[in-house]
Amino acid sequence: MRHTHCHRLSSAHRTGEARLIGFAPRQPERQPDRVKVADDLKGIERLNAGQDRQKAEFAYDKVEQRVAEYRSKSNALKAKLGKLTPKDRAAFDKAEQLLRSTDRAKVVKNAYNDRITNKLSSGEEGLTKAEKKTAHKEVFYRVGELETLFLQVEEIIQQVEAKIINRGGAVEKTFEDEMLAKRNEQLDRQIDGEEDLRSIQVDSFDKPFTSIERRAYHLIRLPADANINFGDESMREGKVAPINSKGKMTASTGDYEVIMLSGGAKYYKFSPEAMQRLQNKKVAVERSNGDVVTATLLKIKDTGYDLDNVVLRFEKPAPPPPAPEPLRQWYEVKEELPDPEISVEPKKKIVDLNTEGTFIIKTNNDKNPALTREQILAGTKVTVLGPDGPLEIKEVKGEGKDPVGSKDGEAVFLRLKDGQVKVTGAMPLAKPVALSFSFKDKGENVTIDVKKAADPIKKDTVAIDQKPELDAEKPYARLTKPSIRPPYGNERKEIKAEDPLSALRELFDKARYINLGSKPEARETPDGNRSLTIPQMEDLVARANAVLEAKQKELPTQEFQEFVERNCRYINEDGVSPFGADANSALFLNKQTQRVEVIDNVPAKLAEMQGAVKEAADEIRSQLNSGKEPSNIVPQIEDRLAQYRPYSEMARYRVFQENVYDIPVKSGASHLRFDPVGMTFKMQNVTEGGGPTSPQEKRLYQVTPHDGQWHELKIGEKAFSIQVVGGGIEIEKEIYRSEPGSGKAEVYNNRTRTWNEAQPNEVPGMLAKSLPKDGTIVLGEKLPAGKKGYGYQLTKDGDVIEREIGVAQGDKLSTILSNKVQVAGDVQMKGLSEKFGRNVFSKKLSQTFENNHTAWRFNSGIGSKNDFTFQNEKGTWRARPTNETEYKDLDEIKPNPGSGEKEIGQILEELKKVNDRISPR
Amino acid sequence: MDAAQFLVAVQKMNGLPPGMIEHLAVLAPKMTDEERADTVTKLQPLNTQIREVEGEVLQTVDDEIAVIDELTNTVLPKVQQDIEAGEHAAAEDIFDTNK
Repeated sequence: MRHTHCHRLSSAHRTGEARLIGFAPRQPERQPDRVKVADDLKGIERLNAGQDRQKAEFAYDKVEQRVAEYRSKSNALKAKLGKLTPKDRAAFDKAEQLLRSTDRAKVVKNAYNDRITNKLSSGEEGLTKAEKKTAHKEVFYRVGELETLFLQVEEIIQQVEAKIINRGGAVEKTFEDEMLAKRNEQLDRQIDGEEDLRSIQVDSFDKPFTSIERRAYHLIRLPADANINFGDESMREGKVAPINSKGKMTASTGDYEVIMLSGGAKYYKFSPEAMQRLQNKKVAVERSNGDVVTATLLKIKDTGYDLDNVVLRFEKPAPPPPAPEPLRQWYEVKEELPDPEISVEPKKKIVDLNTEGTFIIKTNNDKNPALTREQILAGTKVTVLGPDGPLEIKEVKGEGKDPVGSKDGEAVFLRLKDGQVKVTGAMPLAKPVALSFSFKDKGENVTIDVKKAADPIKKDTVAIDQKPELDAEKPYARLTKPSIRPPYGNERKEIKAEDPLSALRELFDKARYINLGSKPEARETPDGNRSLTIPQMEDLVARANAVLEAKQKELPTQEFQEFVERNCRYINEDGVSPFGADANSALFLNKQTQRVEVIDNVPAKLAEMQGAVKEAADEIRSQLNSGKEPSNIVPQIEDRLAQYRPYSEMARYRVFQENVYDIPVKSGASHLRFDPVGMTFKMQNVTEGGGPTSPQEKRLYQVTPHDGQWHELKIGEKAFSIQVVGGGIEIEKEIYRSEPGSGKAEVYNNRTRTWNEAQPNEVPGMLAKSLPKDGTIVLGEKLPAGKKGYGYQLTKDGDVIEREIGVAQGDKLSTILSNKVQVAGDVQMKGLSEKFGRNVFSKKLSQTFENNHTAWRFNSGIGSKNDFTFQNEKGTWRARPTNETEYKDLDEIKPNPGSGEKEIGQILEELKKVNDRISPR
Repeated sequence: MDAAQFLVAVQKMNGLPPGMIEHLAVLAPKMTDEERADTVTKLQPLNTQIREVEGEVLQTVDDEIAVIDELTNTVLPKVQQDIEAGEHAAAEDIFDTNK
């Protein structure tokens, strides 16, 4: 919406605010001879060329610039401080106090003029924190005072103008009109680009009413004939404290003051206390012509200064109800339509009438005749017949996307009780389609062709049965995209077919670098990849699930889960395969069933999830508005989202890239923010005061010990699932993420608060336990004195290395989780053996960070001859003498004779083994 | 006060925005001598205050910026360095099995 500003009104330029905005910005394009000067004054030095004027213009510009710079730097510092822990923050405050009490503070103090200096130097120790705040306020008091002074100048000019006009003279305003017009254009552009309340204002006065809070009162401008009716609110009219020339507030005698302006407008001036009472309340704005409009009085933050704007938000008329979505309509079955009968006969197997499952309908229009668009949209009576009568199909969902020319079309068939099938025509069917039902029955694939009774489909035209033979020697070679990041080196090891683990990795390793397609034929995609055919994809899934099934029988539950986590995680997390450029289908690991699935229509799935989340957010909002506590409603509503958690990795990159579901719990202070990782809502506090938000997360859940259930625990920006079992706590996962199509994965490094590229051989996760033998752990309380914790680290090879964690007595568990255990998790052992880790890693080996990588520094203890630093670069260990800067290949490193020589040699050998294992040399 | 004197006086009010000075210049020929003198009398103290306040704002802001720069560039990195050193020490503790 484009606004007409009050400043554009013909007489508005007379107001003080108009003059202020007119004068403030520099106008480089202004013509120098614009001002009309009387002939008898021509001899006087040119007005526009005066040095004093340039100085004045520069001075005010500098005020604006410097205040803005000050604000920016102050905010930047606040943002950085927000990332410190309370303990570190205290250290900072101490340093700050020290700084301000020494020479720097003296310089600052001496620079103030006498008045400010006297005020600020009352304490012995210089600028204390409180005084700093005062100094901060002083800046904005002064800015407010400056503008007040200009208002006073304006009033004097207005008086002069009034006298001239009363004598019958004209007042030329060419210069100001032009300047105001330019400024109005600037403001219009600025406001049009903003998404604040002003952009949604609907009012009958054809302008937004804004003003700037001068810290001592709040102004809002209205037309001269408009009056605010405060309703039941007790408001006393009187004088409202102005800022005097000393920057002090004077005493108020009223809650609000009405100031008539000469330009056809008036100011309502509110005291801070009155504004506090009035904000967010509804008032009536009445005009002399009888119009009455209800509006809400709001304060909104001005991003340029630490000031608040006051606006009236007028109520919008209720929007018309949304038109029904035509593509979501159910279409009723009409029996009288021609060609109604379609029968189904089992192709491979007699269908169990009681079979339950999801029926996926795949279509192929190239070879098979089938329903026409008109038939489906009009509602064809579909009778699905089995050998003994109508099939009991519980629910049939299908899609008719590409083959029928639909971008994201979906046809859903719903079973009716009488055996008929109801069809929703979400797809704009352009061509005839063939239908086949494919589903699982007791673990076995069943395919049913659908054909019209009068025109049976020939068996050899059913696409789903066509499984082209793959190249026996290199079944996937032609499909493999050149690896952006080879997971195990350029030359792959020979995979033993009988090794299920290797076979599984092999399968997924291929899957991650190709596009999955839903086409019957493999095709070249725009980015040069080849897509999988449906049979290939299904074959891949069947083989993967066979391996998983075998492993599940073989391994205990916990070990099986770890196996799945190790071998299947990048299906979901590495993000390449599910979102191929030319495919809507995705391979996905369903974490609940622990089986690989194909999601046939990823956009539809995502849309479904997005709808569910939006619905949940709306309901939470609604219940919050009715006064319920978040902790009472959020968990239950989140339960409804649980079904989507297996797909949450997909969701967080595709649907919820922005945390759009922010729900204010307490106005301006706390929000529920949707976290797609766990399909949960978390509480955030947003600091007030105009600076950048500083989220302080709070746990939504109070964990009850020993309940054996999984709970969400969020510490800082890191999320864990925890399970309280037998007095111990297990941490389930680290956070990984990847960008679709990037071929890269990242791991969150809590130590440096950054996302770093995950290495192919990176430890997939870390299990940590804190296992006091007795006692009870409640989160946030202290560990029983004398108890120690144990860290468990999951290596690439699937080994769990147990390490004792040096837990200080009485440490808070939250401290352990947020600091020490996470540090352990960041220790990238890179497959080093347990023995090596135990024997060699000692005090001489310290962890460090270089170039965002974890590195290990070995100190020989005598001199620096054998001090070396080791770093893992993209999966390969390299080393350098600590006193040098360049890393070298391990073969180039020669330990010097003497102290540490043997240990360095041992480290080099171990690391070479690791390199060999990861990337065959 | 005639128009020329008024104009000279107004031009010296370098605390006023140029737009206002120019507007006063336009108004000058239409004002009476008395109005011009009265206007200058009223404006001069305001001009002085404006210059003072501008100076105060700039000085206060510049000094605050200097302190903030010091905190940002020196103190904060030191605190962060200390944090990292502490974490390194914690990492050593965790894997120090002899402890």
